[in-house]
Amino acid sequence: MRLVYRCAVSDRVKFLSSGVLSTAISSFTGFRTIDSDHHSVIAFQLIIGHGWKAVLQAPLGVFVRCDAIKRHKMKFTIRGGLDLRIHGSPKQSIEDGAEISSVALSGGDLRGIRPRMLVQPEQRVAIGQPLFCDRNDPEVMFTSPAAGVVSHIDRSRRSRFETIEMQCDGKKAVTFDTSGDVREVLLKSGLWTTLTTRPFGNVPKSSAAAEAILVTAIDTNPLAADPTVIVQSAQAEFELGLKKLTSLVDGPVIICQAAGPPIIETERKNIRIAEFRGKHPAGLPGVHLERLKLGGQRVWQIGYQDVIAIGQLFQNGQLSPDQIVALAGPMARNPRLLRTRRGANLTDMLAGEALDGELIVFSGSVLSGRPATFLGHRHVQVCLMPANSGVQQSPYSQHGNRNVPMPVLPNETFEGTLPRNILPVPLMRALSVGDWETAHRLGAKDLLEEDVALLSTLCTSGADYGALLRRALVDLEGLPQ
Amino acid sequence: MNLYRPFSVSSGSNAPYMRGFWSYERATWATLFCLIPPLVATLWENGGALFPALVLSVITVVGWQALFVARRKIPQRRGVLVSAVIFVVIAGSDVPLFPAVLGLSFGIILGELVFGGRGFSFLNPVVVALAFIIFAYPTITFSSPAVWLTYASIPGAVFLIVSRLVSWRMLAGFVVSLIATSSLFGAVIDLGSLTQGYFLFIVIFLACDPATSACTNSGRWANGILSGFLVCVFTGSGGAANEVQPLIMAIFLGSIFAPLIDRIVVEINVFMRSRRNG
Repeated sequence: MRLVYRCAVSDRVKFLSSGVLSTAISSFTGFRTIDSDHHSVIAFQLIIGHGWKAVLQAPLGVFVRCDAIKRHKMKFTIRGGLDLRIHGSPKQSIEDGAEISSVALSGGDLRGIRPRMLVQPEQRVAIGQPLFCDRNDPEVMFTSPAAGVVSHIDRSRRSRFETIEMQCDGKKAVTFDTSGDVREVLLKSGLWTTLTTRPFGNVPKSSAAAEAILVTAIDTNPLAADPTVIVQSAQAEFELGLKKLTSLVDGPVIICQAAGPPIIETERKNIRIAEFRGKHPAGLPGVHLERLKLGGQRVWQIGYQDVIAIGQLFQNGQLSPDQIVALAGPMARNPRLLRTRRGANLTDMLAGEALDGELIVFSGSVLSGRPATFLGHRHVQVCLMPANSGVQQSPYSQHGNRNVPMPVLPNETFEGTLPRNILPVPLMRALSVGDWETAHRLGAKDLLEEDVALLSTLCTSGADYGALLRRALVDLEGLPQ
Repeated sequence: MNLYRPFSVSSGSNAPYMRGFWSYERATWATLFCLIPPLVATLWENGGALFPALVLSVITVVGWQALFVARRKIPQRRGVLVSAVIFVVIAGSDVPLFPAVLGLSFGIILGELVFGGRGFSFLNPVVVALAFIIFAYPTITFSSPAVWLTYASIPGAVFLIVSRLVSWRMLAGFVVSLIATSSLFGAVIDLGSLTQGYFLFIVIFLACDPATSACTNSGRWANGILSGFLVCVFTGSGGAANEVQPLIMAIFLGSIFAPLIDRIVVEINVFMRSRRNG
């Protein structure tokens, strides 16, 4: 039996006692309580088969699996956090964006991939045609988000590539046979690459297995789109995508959503809903993993729009090139949700959208995204920020031609920006001095760049903890597990 | 339209675009502003007698920092002014000028500058300076401060706590531990005296200094509790917790123990994680 949840002994005892108690109540009163069936039966089976000790040592998954059948809704409140009030939040209604002339895939977004090119410059490609695959795992393929001509392949050192750019022309699309194995269909269509592993944040290997899939249908980033609006616009596709995801893992598919009515309409076995309320980082998978007690386990995460894309693939047999992004920020003329293309050229997309003045265009969140000219892989936000407004001063003090780092002044606000069980200041210090081993001991493997973005914002030292964490993770990944 | 060109913004570094409000410099300025009312109250009480001490203290800290900036290539920071002002409020009227300059030099050099400046050291320079004076000149007694010192410290204290520059956990741990320990010892401490004297000023500006106290939430509680307990121990029977000597010695030891406390918190955290993850 593959077991999903592990947790402290106290939790197990609590769970077990509730099962035993409800059995006792039901045997006295003659009424059957909701819990009595599952918990107590499993508890007694364990006691008879393996003795008391086994019950205390058994991962809680045994009990929680029963809950999955009941579709018990989990609710969590995240204390602390930060509400960065940035002017220009988007109007939550979807409009069609401008015509896009070119799209690109950026190599920097793809972790753990060494690409082998399958197309040549000037070659004509259709939507869904493989562009490149992973050198070490050729089944993991990246497919074209647009029909047109490959115009440019920008290679950099060590055969990693920077960008592959295509001029859009026509609507020709590859049709996939979606009747087969879900994993195979996803690998062939390239949608496999929308999955992200925890830990390390890579694209999973084609043969990898996970204990659970986390669907992030909540976004607490500043200037973000409301996922419920976008999911409602494609409700059937979203639910079909979820159904297909359940066949990828033995464990549950957990939808993390904001407080409110359930985001899915039909109940299904193995799909659970977890509700999170609170300020940013309440919407980050790192926080969700900690609350769901999945830290340290092999889990995949996927965004809500990628689930919709999977649903569309299985519905039509073709890849949908569409992506909905929140176009927002102080420099946006009309902040709103835009239907555009995956990997869209931002210069095309932003024609007439920006106010006058020098600006920086962020693909992704303004906290953890990056300045870009093309929409990044899996990014659902484009932020138009004025140049230099966020930077109040150089975080480093200049001394001659030498950059001297500023010290970390510990502040209680840091504590609310990470998952509860991670100590921010010791982690920041370990990362700043390059002590990866201590960072690992402090739980760096439970985090990705986006989780520490708020620390970079708040810390007086001006360090980029996301970049430091990535260096730590790259080193830790090289170690034998 | 100007799109992003790599590394063309934010002074050449690829540091994060969004910066929080509290930069190092702003935090320093805020603390300096919070120190204005206590300084004014002290100057008001002592008249012009305090000016030589103030001027000399500022010259001392700025001078030593200038030397370290020139010789050791550490960056110039305004945090030293904070130290000078706190020192003058506590020691300005009682400590003669020569011991004051000597003590402050000792404190600023060994407590701060040799480590590379504020934020890199583990002791507050004023605490080191006062501890030095208490040890080296046992005959010097600290008289009671300006009557209005506590009230003048309240706005700054409230501001620092609300803006989270000072940890309320540390403060709460300190006060709770002081009350608990003193009642355990049979009320050796006159708690009513806490509203007078140096208590609030020293606790807020020295004990709760974020750079030298524990940096984890549980560590902050523990650090506050330890310092409060030590105040009781050093006060002895019949003493008052608002006197300089016991407070400074307790904070001195508390700061020395802060890294150890953090280390213990870290090890507990690591142990819990290893148990959870199997």
